[in-house]
Amino acid sequence: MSQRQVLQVFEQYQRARTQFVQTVAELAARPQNIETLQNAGVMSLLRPLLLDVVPTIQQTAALALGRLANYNDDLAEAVVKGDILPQLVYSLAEQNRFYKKAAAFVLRAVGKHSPQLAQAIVDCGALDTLVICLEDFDPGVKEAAAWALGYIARHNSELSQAVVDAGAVPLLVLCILEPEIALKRIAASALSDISKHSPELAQTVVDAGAIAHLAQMILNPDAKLKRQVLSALSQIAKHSVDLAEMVVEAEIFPVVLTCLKDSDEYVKKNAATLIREIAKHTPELSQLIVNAGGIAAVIDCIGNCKGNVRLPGIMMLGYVAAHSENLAMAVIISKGVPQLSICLSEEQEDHIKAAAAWALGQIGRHTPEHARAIAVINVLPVLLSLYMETESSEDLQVKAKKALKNILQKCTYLPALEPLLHDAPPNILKYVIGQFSKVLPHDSKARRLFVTSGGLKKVQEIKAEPGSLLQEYINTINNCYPEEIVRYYSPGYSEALLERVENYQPVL
Amino acid sequence: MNPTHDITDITFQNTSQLPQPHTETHKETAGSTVLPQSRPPKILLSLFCSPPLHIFFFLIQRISSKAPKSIDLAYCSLIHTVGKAPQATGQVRLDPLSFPPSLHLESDERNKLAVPLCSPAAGWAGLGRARPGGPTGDTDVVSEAGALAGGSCHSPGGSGLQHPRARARFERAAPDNCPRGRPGCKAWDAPRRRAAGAAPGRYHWLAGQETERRFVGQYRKTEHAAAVKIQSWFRGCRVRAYIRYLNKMMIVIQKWWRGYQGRKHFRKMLKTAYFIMKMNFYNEMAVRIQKRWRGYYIRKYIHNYYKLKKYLEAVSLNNEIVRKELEQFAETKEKEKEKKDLERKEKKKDHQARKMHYLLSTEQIPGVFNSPFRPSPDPMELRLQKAKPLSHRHQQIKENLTKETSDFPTCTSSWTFPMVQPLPPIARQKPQGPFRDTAEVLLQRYKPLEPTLRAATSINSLEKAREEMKREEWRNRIHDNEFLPFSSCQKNQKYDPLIQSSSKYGQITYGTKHFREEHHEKWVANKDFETVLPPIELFDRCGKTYSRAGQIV
Repeated sequence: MSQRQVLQVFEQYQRARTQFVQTVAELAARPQNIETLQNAGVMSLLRPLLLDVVPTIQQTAALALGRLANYNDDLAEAVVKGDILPQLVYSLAEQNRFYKKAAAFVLRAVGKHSPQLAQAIVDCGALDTLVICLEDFDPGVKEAAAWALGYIARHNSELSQAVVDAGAVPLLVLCILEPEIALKRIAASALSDISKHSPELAQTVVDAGAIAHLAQMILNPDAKLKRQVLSALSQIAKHSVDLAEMVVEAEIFPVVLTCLKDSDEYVKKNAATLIREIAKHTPELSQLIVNAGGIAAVIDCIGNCKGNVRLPGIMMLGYVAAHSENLAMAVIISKGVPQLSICLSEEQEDHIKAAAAWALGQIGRHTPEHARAIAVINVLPVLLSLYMETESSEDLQVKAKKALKNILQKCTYLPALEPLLHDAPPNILKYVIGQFSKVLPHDSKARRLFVTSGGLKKVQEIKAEPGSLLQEYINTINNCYPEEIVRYYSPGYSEALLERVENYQPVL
Repeated sequence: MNPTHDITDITFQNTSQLPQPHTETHKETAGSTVLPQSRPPKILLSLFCSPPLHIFFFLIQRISSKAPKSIDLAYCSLIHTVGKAPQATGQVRLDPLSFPPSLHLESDERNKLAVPLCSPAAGWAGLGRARPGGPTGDTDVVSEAGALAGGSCHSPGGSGLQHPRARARFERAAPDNCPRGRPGCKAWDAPRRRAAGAAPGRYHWLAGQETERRFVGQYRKTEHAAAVKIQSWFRGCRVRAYIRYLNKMMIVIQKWWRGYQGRKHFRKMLKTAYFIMKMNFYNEMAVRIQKRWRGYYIRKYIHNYYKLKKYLEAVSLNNEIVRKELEQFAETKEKEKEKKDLERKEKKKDHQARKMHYLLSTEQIPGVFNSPFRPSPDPMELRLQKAKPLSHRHQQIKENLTKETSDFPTCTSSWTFPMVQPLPPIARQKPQGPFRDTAEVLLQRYKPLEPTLRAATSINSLEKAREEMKREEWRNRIHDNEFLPFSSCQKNQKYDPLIQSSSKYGQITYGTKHFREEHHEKWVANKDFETVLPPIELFDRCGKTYSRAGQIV
């Protein structure tokens, strides 16, 4: 046999391996194939190929493994159980950039599923090599490493702390400064994942000087980067007043308000979340946002979008209004209440409705002036119906009831209260009647209107337990009117009259 | 003892008609009484019914009336003990302001009413005891006891003498203060008379004595009872009067005292009421002031209506501005996006034109975009005219690139480079510290490149080496067993070196040409010269550059 023939065998074998690995990698990219692949025993076939002499085959095998592990946690666990991780970690430090990228991809795919799998990655010492990869020249390797680190850190604070302890944060901050948008994006996302767990971790990120760089990228035209940047800032700001103030000091206002006008939904949502996280801490921070015109921007944003994107904006309005009556008044004059009422009636999901109801309650609980602003736009019947509906979730019912209670206890706008007289349950009726009993003794016009609109009749029909608060209120209302009027409107009066007619002895 | 003596002294000095106790005791000692001096002879007694005093009176009466000797002696000893009881506590004092009067153990000189009672009584009791076999026996003792009773009789009077009026009355009632010189006490006189009238005739004397004795015996009891009655009545009167008097005085004192107390209390109450009134007034005024001030302060600084209104107006204005600006911003963004889209479309069309450049019409044949039946050619035709045909090679390269990027697991799209200007730099701190000399820096800067060993080696040297090694292995991998000779005929033969290489100087380490000293005799030492290694150039440069690892400049 000639040499050529001998070599041909090897060549054929290598070609076959390459083809196999590439095909498997391509097949693994489609989720519908994965079950079949796994049943065919792809794991055990791919594992030796990770140690192949040809680098291309190694990389492609890693890629295929990553795709398989990415699919579900069973396959990821199979990767962990197959003792593939130590091999990957070892070669992560040794091999060329393509292999590093593929290995980091496998680690990421394994680590994203559950804290246990992420812990398995940490246990086999991958963090140190991943952090070394963050120092690599190749942005692709950096990106893959940052991504894997972010996925490990996002599970819980222990894993996050492990990532921080490996010294990843300063390198991630350096990655933000790289020119590649994708790398920036991933690094910002990783920082967000690290800082979301606890104030200490957020403080570590802040100490690495991340805020200034993140704040600079708010104006970046890339929407996906903006998403991650805003998310990272809000995760930092959410923990404490100090951190929120540090975020504010990076002069994100009013720049961040432009993100509320972005075409990307998630940018809007994350920007609203950031504003909410800052506003929720103190009245001063809320005031700062109000002064920067943040409320108007948020209200516009709520008006422009639908669904879950609205939620942080609605909550932000609630937080701002909860702090003080002046801020609540600022929300009212910024035309926040109509927007909230639209949310309350338009939205399909209960949790958004609950948030809107809560925000309305926070706005209306301060003074009669505030309550009036809410009552005027006819929100109270909507709230009542949400409370009464059996389909609405328990949380929504509780929130609606609390909001109603808060608003009703301050409301002196009687035209809005009157419809509630007719269809409110006793526990709400108590507050409605209470408000009437407070207003009617001092307002003669209202007394007249109360009679003509049938309110008094309705009041007489209420069956209150003697000695209860409701009965007391009813008595106060009855005392505002002459006795015959009260008797006239009390139920059964016509029968009493007819009885009198029957009993009357005609005088002849 | 001494204090009691002193006190009695004082008392008796006040009531000057009573005999001095000292003289009395002297008399008693002269009369050879057996009274021991160490025993307290006197007792200070208050006038009124302290219980020991009652017992005392009672005892004395018992003695004076009918005591047989044994009982007498027992009583006498009782008197001793009774007499001792108050003495043990010092002195007894009457408090005039409290009624019924109580005993106080204080030595207030003015109110002290002291009676030298116990001493004579004890003395006489002792006397009676000292003469058990006396001639008169019973009578003597009785008479002595009677005298004692007499003495004791006046003793309350004596104590009452403290008051001047009462004393005067008492003096009138009893002109002779000496207990023994009392005329009404016949029992006392009897022995004297007996002594005096012993001479005239025995029978007559005896008869007289008999009658007298009978007479005396007949009337003694009634007289004594009468005397007791009179005395009790009189004393009762006197004590009642005195109590009345004391009550009156008490009322006066209490009246004044209570009046004083009442006025004091009233003044105090008045003061308090006035103070409360004042305080209420002040509080009311303070409330008024605070009300005004707080209203003013809150309206001015906390709930300033106008300020709030202004603030809210400012907020709404600001909101308007922000809304407008954001609107503008969104519009510009929109425009930019449209423009970008347009550009992209244009680019796409251009690319298409380049791709379809072959559809360009020639002079002879009009292209599909240049229909002769139309008045003007299609705009694509113009584009085709402008476009440059796409080269085949260019296409191939592009295809290759996309394939490679799609291979990246982490990046789904091709590289995106920053489309805008780079961000302005973040303000960094100015570098500070001692700098090196400029000349030195320049020297360092313009030094020719001296790459380190690591930099000088190629980046894929490891791979190259591995490849080389692999190739080597592949080349050498004929079979793994070590070389074995074919036959074993030379197995026991010893290896003998070549003739050329064997010399008496041993094997030469390296090289072929050697200059060897032939004359061993001339050698200084018996050893060969040793080879010296040339210096390694790399290590000479150590520490001469800035980059000293681990050191902070």
